[in-house]
Order: sequence, then structure tokens, then C-alpha cells
Amino acid sequence: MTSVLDVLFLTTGLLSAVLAFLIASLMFRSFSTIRVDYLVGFPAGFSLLGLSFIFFDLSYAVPLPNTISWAPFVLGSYGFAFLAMTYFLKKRGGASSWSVRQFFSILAILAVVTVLFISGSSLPPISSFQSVEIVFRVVNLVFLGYIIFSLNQALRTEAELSNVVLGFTFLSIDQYSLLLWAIDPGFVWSLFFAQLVRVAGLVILAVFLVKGFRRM
Amino acid sequence: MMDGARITRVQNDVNLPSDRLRLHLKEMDILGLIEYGEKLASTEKGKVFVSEYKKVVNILQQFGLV
Repeated sequence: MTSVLDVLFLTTGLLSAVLAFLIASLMFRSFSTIRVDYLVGFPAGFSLLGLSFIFFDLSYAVPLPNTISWAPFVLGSYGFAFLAMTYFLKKRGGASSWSVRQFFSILAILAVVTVLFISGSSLPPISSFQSVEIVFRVVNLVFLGYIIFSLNQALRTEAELSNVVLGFTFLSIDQYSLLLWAIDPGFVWSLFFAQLVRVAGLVILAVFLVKGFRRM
Repeated sequence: MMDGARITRVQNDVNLPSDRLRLHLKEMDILGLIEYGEKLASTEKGKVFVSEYKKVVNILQQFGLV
């Protein structure tokens, strides 16, 4: 990989992480204003995605220890899982505070167990595990599909195309492009395209949130 | 005498029993969101909170989360 592409990945990775953390902080502001338990899944999900973007781009720009090479995949999937869980709990009528905390606690414990398992075991190098990456991408696409489906159900009365749906659609295209790249690593343009689409999706969501909070 | 709404009027609007309404009002008074006396009035902090709350609800509606 050329150094120009390395710089591009580092830049888009950093930009994506900043945008994801911005979205997480604004969603945390929403949660702290309304205090509905299931909303905590959004700041948690976007924070995990922010971390995964940093590790993903770092892993392709500089050589990282094997354990850290697994981080972007695990963190990314758990990030999308938290977002999908938020919609799932909302569909259950918000559920009771107790069950919401139970669901998120189980997810958080699973995430910690996964991290401990990866750091404690001698897993093979991620480069020899293309099929594992494919599984992670497919899982992410399933979560994103559920999010977009839930959004469309919730916004079916809206006449205009929602910026939120557009943002999540871009994130799905990002995952699909990365899936194509995992299937055929020679297809570098797919990786390049994924970076741009991901930044575009996050910009749409971040701008929508910032505008929403600035509105008088 | 401060401007504001009568408690009975608010009670009718929110459709809550008097004892439960008074609990909520005391809590909002402690938080500095309202002035709780013979009549009820929003404080500046209360008005800011209502404005912020409306923005958040509008955003969350677009996210399909409320």
C-alpha cells in the first residue's frame, strides 16, 4: 500500500472517529435531557464505532500487535449491536428500566468477555483470517439492515427522505464495500470508496444533530 | 404577586391527582425549574430546559427513537 493511501486512511480514520465521538456526545446530551434508559445505547454504540474507526485505519497504516488487529472488528460489531439494541428496546415499548439495563449489561459483559478472550488467547494473525472479517461485515450489515428497517417503520409518515436514513444507508454501503474488499483484497478501490462513504454518512448524521440542537 | 398559572388549572391540564402533582412540583421547585407558591411560574432555567427538551424530542423523532 502506498504512503499516499496510508495518509488518506489515517486522515479519514481520524475524521470518522471525531465525527462518531461528536455524534456520541450529542446523543448523550439527548439521553441526559430525556432520561429514557434505552437511549444510552446510542452514545455507547457511536463511542465504540469511533474507537473501531481509529483501530481499523491504524491497522492498515502501521503494523500493530495481533491482539489490536482484532479490535476494529470486535468494537465495530458491538457498536452496531448497541445501536440495533436501542431500536429493538424502543420497539418493545421502551421496556422496563430493569430489562433495559439487563439487555445492555449482557451486551457490555459480552463485549468485555470477547476482548479478554482475544487478548488472553493466541489467535492467528488477522491477515490469514479473511473469512472472519467477512463474518464481521455480514453481521454489521444485518444490524444496519435492522436499524434502517426500524427507522423506515418509525418514519413511514414522513414525506421527505430522512437525513438519518440517508446517513445509516451510507454506513451500510461502507460495510458492503469493506465486505467486497474482504472477499477480494486486490480490489483496493472498494476500500478507498468505503472510507469516503463512511465519512459522508457520519457527516450527514453529525450535521443533522448539530443543526437540531442549534435550532431556536 | 408573581404571574403564573393556578395549581388547579395545571392539575386539570395534566390530569394527575393532587398529591402526585404536588410531589412533581416540589421536585421541579428543588431543581429550580419552577417557582412554586400560590401560583406556578417557570423560571429562566425552566424555560431553557423546556426549549432543550423540545429540541431533543424533535431530533429523537427523526431518529425514530420516541
